[in-house]
Amino acid sequence: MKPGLPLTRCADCGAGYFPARLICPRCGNANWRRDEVHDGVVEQTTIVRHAAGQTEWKPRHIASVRTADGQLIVAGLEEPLPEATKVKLFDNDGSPIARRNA
Amino acid sequence: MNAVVIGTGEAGYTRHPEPGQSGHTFLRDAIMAAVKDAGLKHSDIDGLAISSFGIEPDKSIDMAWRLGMSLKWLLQDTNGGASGINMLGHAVRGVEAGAASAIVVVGGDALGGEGFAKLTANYNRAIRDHVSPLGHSGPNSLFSMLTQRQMKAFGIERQDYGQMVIAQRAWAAGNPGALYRKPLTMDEYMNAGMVCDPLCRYDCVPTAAGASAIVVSTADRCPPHHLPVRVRALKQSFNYDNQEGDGLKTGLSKVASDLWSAAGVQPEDVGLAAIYDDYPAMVLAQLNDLKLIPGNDLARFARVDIGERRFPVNTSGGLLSAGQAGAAGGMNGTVEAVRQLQHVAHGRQVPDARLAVVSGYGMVLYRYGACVGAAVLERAQ
Repeated sequence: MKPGLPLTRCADCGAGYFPARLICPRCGNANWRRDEVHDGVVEQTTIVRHAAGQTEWKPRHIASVRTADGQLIVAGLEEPLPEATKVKLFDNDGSPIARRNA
Repeated sequence: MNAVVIGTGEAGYTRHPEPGQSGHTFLRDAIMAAVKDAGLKHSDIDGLAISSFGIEPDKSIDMAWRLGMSLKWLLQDTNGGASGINMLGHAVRGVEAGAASAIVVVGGDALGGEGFAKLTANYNRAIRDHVSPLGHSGPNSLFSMLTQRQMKAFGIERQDYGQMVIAQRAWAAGNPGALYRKPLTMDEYMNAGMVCDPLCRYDCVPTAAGASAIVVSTADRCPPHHLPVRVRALKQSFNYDNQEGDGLKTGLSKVASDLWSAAGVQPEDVGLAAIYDDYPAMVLAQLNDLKLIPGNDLARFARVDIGERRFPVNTSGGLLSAGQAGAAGGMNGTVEAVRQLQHVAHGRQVPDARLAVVSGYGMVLYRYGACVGAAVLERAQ
């Protein structure tokens, strides 16, 4: 679990993306640099109570988070958090995790 | 457009396939039923469009071979819930261009619970790498949050969605091919177990095994026992917003004006709609994008127009009651609309049905679907 969500940022127009793109939809170029975003706000949350094909399933908390850079991402929560909670973003081997910003 | 739909066929729509039944056999059986309904011989078919998540490692040509078809025109479609409209458009243009004279268009699967879970967990790289490890369990979590956004933006209550689900179940009672036909009450809906808040089990499509097919050809090939159905217009949109919106609009919002203009009719002229219903919220989103909901009052339209069945939506029962047989989901609405316009939807026939709008929606890239299309169909005189 590493602090920060990795972004690909267009070196030409500055737009940042998660997940990574191949061509920037804003400017049509493909010059990328790596960046990170660390902060976000919870916009919606849900509880995944059942899963198709699973018999032993523990409910998971998932959120739609708007990052400080503007991306809307799907993030896992380690505890239920209310809407509008400010969070810190972490990268769990590709999966975004959001924790309450203490 | 001069090409027409001249036959429909379905197979399966069952929870539990019998021994010997598979995605392949359901696809075969739906094709044979559609060809028979079209009054054609197997050897008359010279084009095939197929969509199925479960035929791998086979491709469309493997299916053509196994189905005993020698063809001039072949298409495999991978657009999920939008595949039916996409294939219909290609088939119509294929017939009109003279590339083929009779094309069978089919979608179907027999994935089962485990197959569905495997499919949705590995749907694409973005889902596989960034969402599935969170335990999102398929699209329910994503559409539960989209539904929350729609409820907030339009003042919709759970009961409003419930009215839609109950109305579709009432339509399904008249469809022998629907998986669930027993009437549903509001108490049952409101007390059903939550799957992914605020979605309860009745808001999520039941996985079925089956296939749906149509035959696209020219009007002169239409058998005497029913009228052909013309495609007045068909428009599509792919990745219109790069997944950067709230998902409450679909790409139909960009093409609806062109659709009605090309069709030469107005939304209010349409007598029924078959709208891709992976979730009730997406039915409302597409209807609104198609300009079928007056004054953006989604809640009232759900409660009154759909709930009281004043405006017929998803008369097959939709996927929510008829069942979602994988890629058949993109075809179910088209088959139903054609049957309504042919006046052969026995048990659920909309009186004097003349014009219908059909939509397909699907392929969650990351947060919501990115492929969408709609067609205006007409009972040819």
